[in-house]
Amino acid sequence: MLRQLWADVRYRLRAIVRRSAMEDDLDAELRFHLEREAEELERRGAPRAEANRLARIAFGSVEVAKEEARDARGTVLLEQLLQDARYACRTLRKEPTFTLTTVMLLGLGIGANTATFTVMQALLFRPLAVPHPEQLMIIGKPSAVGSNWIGPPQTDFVSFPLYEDVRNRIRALGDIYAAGRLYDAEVDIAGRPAESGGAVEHTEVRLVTSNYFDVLQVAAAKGRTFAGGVDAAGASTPVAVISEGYWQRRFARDPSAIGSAITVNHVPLTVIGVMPAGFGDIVGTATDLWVPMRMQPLLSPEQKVLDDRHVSWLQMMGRLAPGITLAQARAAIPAIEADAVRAQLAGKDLAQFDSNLHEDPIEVDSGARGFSRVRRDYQAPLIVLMCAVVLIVLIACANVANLMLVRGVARTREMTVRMALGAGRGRLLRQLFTETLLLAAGGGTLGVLVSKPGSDLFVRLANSPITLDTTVRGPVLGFAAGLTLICSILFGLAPAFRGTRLDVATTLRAQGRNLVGARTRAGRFATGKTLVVVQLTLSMVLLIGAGLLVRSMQRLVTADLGFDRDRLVMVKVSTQKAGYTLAREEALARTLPERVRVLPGVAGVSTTFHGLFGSYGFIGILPPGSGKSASPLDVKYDAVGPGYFQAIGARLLRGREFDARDSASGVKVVILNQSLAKRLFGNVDPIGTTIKDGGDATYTIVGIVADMREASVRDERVQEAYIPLFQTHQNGFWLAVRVNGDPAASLAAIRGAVLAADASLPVEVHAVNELTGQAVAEDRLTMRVTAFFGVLALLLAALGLYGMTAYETSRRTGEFGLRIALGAQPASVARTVLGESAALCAVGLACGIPAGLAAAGLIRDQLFGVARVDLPSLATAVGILVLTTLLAAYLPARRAARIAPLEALRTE
Amino acid sequence: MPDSKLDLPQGTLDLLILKALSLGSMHGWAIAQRLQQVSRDTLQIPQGSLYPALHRLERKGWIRASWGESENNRKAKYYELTRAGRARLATETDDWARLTAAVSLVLKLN
Repeated sequence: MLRQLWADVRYRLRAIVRRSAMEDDLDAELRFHLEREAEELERRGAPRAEANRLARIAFGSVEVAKEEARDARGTVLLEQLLQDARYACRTLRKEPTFTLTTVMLLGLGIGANTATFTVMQALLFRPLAVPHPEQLMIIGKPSAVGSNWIGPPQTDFVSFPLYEDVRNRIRALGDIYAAGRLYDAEVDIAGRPAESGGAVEHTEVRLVTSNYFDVLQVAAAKGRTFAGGVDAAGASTPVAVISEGYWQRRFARDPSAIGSAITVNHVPLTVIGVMPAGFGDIVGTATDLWVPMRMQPLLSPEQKVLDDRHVSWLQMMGRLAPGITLAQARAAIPAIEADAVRAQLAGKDLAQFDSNLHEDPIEVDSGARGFSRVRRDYQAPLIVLMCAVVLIVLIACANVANLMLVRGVARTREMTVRMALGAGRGRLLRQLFTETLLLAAGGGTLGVLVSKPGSDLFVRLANSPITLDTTVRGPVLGFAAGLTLICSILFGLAPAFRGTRLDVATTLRAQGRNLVGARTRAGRFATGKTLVVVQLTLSMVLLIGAGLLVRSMQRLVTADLGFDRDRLVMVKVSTQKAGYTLAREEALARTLPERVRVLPGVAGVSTTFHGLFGSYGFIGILPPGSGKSASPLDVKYDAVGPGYFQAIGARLLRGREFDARDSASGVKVVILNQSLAKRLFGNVDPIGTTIKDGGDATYTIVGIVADMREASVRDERVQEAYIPLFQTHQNGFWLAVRVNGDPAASLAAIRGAVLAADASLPVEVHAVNELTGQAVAEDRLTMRVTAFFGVLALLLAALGLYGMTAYETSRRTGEFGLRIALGAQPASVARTVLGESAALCAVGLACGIPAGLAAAGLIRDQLFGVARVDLPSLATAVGILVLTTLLAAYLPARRAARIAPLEALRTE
Repeated sequence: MPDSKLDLPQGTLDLLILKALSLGSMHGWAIAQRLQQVSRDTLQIPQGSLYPALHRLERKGWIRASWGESENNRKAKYYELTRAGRARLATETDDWARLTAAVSLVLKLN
């Protein structure tokens, strides 16, 4: 059966491909038959001419036989399709402007969609490039990758001892690896200095257990990965595996990289392998180096965490054991991990953990898409963007549909004649739709071609670096093909139906009589106008959205953060990298501010551990009057130097700043922010009273400071406590420097002053607004992209309006000529044209404003400090739309006003 | 006497062609001749309808065609049965026998 089907298909294919050869065959075959028949008749005694005649009579109609033989080949439909395609190609080639415009419009729309889909697919949907990604399970929160926590156990990530406990207890997974980030990794490669002059090169080092590559089941592209037990032994054989990207970047793909030595934080390691391109278990962030977990104590000697249950920094991933389903694993694992944690806890810590567990359960979920910190951040912007580009492609389709309608009018005569000659409407429709499909296919191809640069641009526009593989693959191609088909239906069907709905007799008769316009055409322009209104409406939606985002961006970059954001410079001093002891570091933290303070233009200097828009941390504080077993309140904290609040321009509401009294030997003191003071004491003045932390240390409250937004511009009433820098043990600190002028102008001088103290110190100097800029990177990206598409949509709509108005004006040349001849003022003719456009614009506004306000609900979470109905941005959007429509209608209107009546009437 | 000739029932032409070809490969004209002779001129087979049928059978993979030398030394297109065609002929012959038997049975009832 199947073989017969195949034979059939092969036969038909051959019939298509070798069509003319088969026709020749048929001719020869029939000719042979007739000759042979005639020969036979001649042999029986008929004269030659008579024999030929009789043979033909006996045969019947040769043409009918041929036609039936062709039918028997079963290729008629396909042949017609090919014929249509050839015809369409010819027609389109004859109208290069129309074809090019259409293909460009569609390519733009489809390209924008495909590019966005590529990014969405890569970031949100695509599985990891490992065998059977569907078997992978993540224990913990996938978005918490790269985080760490010092304190009692958490539910999002684990300490190394806890990982080992969990790994030994869980049976639902075959094997489990753990991986964590090595902070502040400094990598040197002998003979290959980092290419960026002077700037600190960030290398992402992932510390992984030795079973990492075995669980992921990926082998090295070059060299090898870890050999289980040997590399796990650590110090005896220090090794590293590098990524393909790092190999390219730092080794220029030199094969001798394998076996060469690199140093990570001054510890020599041997590179043993290069992973295949696209490998990694984190999506959106590149990993450069994989180093065995056992190296951790050597790489960060000041923070050995492998035996420390109080440092949670690892995430776990495993493969499902055979026969275990995802649901079973999800049901079983959290309880096992919770038990493993509880076994090591007692008293307050246990209570704290249980209450954490209640609020924030242990997540176990499919690991097919890997870990990703940026996935969560970019999800909302991507959805907004997807909506924007869908609007764009709709507008492009409306534009093309309009072009097709206009073209349909020009082809009325062709269609009428073909119908009069007997072509069925279905046949004509099929032919028109073939044309449409060809155009759409052209647009789709162009779209796929521009999608890669488009998605790369998006990834680059994102301020915080995201690394994505944007190669066009199967799903993206499928998406583009589907979209192409939908587009061709959207822009092709209506014009095709309209173009073939003709009353042959009337149209033929009316041919050439354009003075008032044949009645049959009125409907066609109603469709054209509807399309223009649709475009104006969609543009309005985008303009309103873009306006809101621009306004909210303005608010974000100028928002009052509670400190003097415009004049602050932050200097990150990484003492731990320079190998400072605690005593030496403390001395540095005391002397550096003095060195910087004497620089010209410096208004204030102090120190902070976490910095502004740097890192952040939490401490536990017991609410006053709570009992022994009460669980502490987690509040943000920072450790800051003397005069910190005055230095950064924060508002101290009550009490005093930290000063020289607050040293390691002094009384432990704390300053609360307003929200925390209110939470703990209500309206009672707490100055002078004491509070306790989770570890029973007592602090005297010496001041209250107004709330600041230190980590995110969107922070609202975050409770925070400040303790003196010199009453804590920390590694590294920031200098906060307030200057009198432009911060950018003093960056170099400040860097110089710091390096003058110790030239070997790794130092990063940033204006605070530069750091806040990174914090609102996603917002800026959404804004830029939406604004870009808003303008694009407007341009397309203006083009559509212009095209329609221009065409209609030229069609009504006779009418306008007549009016002018009868005494109408040119200005009033122009007003007629402008008025019609203005009416369209009004309808567009009437539809677009409510639609835009409704759509603004979708981006509510993106907005900051702007109401959904924001009059200034709304007014701007309306103004822009009105101006653009008038501009688009102005040229045709001017042309209408300049019509010379005699000439116009003569051309009729 | 054209009136005494019978029109071919729908679909039986295929069966006759397959049967004719079961004896060996033939070109189109020879098939027409053979059908004419064997049916002793009782069957009315328009020669023109032979060729569409041949092409249809070829598409179905029951016969295959090749160019060869004819008895009068000219190029002619020869058809022969394929293995699938042979099987088809068997089932169709069978069906035909059952059909005619059933029809004559019904007719005899009256």
